[in-house]
Amino acid sequence: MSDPTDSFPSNPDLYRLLAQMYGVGLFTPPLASGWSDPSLALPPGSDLPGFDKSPAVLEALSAADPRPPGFYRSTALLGARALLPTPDPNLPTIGQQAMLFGGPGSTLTLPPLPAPWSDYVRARYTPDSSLASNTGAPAGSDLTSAGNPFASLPMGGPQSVSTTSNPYLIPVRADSTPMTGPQAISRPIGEPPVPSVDPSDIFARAGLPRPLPMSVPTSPPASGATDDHGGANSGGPLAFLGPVGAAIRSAAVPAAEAVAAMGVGPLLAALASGAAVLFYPSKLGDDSCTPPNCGNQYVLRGGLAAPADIQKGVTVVKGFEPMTGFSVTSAPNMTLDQLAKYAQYPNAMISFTTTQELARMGYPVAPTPLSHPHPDPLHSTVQTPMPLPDAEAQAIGGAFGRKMPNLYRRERGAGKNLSVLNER
Amino acid sequence: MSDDPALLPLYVDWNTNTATDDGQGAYGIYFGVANPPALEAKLKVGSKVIMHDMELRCEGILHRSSWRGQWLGVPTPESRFEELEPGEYERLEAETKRAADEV
Repeated sequence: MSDPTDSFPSNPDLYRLLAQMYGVGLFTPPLASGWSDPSLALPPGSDLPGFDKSPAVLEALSAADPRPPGFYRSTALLGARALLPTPDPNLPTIGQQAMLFGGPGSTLTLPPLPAPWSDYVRARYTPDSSLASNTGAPAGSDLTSAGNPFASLPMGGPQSVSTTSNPYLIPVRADSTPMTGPQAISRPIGEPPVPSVDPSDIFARAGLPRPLPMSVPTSPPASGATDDHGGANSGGPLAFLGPVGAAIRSAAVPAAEAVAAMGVGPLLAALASGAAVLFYPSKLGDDSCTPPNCGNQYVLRGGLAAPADIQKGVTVVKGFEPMTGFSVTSAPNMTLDQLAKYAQYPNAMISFTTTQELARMGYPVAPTPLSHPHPDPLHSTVQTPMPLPDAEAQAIGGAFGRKMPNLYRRERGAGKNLSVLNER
Repeated sequence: MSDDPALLPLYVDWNTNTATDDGQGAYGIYFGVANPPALEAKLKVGSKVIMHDMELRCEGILHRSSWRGQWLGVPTPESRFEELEPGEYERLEAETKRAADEV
């Protein structure tokens, strides 16, 4: 099987990142010589009793297996697991039936899995392509000895992060110390994710596809349910995977479709430019209270909304004393795009959440329009104590865990785009 | 980055985008948590300062609003927002504290 990355001309780091993001096993380490099953990174171990490494024998075994081939040790499983919002240590054992090539009860078990990528935001740095040569998996390696088949690839430079199996992802810093330099901050690991909101208008303007909600089923599909992907719900090829198959169907397949729809080039360009391409899990799914429904509103804050930054921003709100809190932009019935266009933050990234989420945490958002000397009708304040304790700052920073690129970034000066108010 | 050592660094929340009395775009400068309160007595209208947060910096001119005496920083026309270099935030913050101690 040829390496699909051969079809693409540019930086291999990005393809590896894509493979890890989508977890669909598009980019696998080179197969061992003489081994033809593309679904397995390596042939079955020679120490397994009863195995003959002759391809003819193995193909005959595969043909006799009623189950679809290829998923038992496929990297797709890693991807499916990585796409789940919460790590579940029980998930690597797929089903209880005996498997030909490893599985429950055998010596070949799935490796420990990395934390879900949804808990991270991509760090911005300049990849060192000279250090990123893809030489494939080292000899003798298999999925039982590495948390990630890609983690063993030679790395170098700032992307060599030992704390995670994904060198492109930097964990959230849970303390409130000032952060400098290239970094990315997301909600603290373990914090409940904020309700997903729809930044599709932002991405439409950037020429990117609408971010795909990745609702992970929380209950078994109804009997006889069907879907368009031949997935777990329809008893298709992923049916034997149960909920993991459903995760693959609901997340990996649409993600792959998105790549197919948009083309790899624009996505890579966006990644290379440092833009955060958000494919995030949706806890609410099609929740009808996504803004502007139910009185819910988007709440934007320029920058990464690090806990320490939020603490520094807390002040007495002039004209609304004794209210204390920090500044945000929010208004009813306005989209993320409209709010960002209005605010014109100088920051490269914008953090956002909703009024409902903040209220649920005990931090109401109050409209605090500045009317003098010049109006700022969308200026709002997230009401907090002053000074803001570290733990609360971290919680609020977690609520602002959703980031998006600022398409209306101001390069100099200050001011609002009040004309947006007429577009409502 | 060539800093004028005479320029006082002040922490600014870019989310406090407002305007001066004459309509120039400006950012609010607050004292208490963001900047040492003692520093307020040292500020002079018209002086050039470094406005920064934890991510960005730019140069600005100090203004004072007629509305409650709010201190404002108006970015200079020639100044662009620049990303802070590693360790730059700590250096700017230390300079701010040192200036406050000298008051």
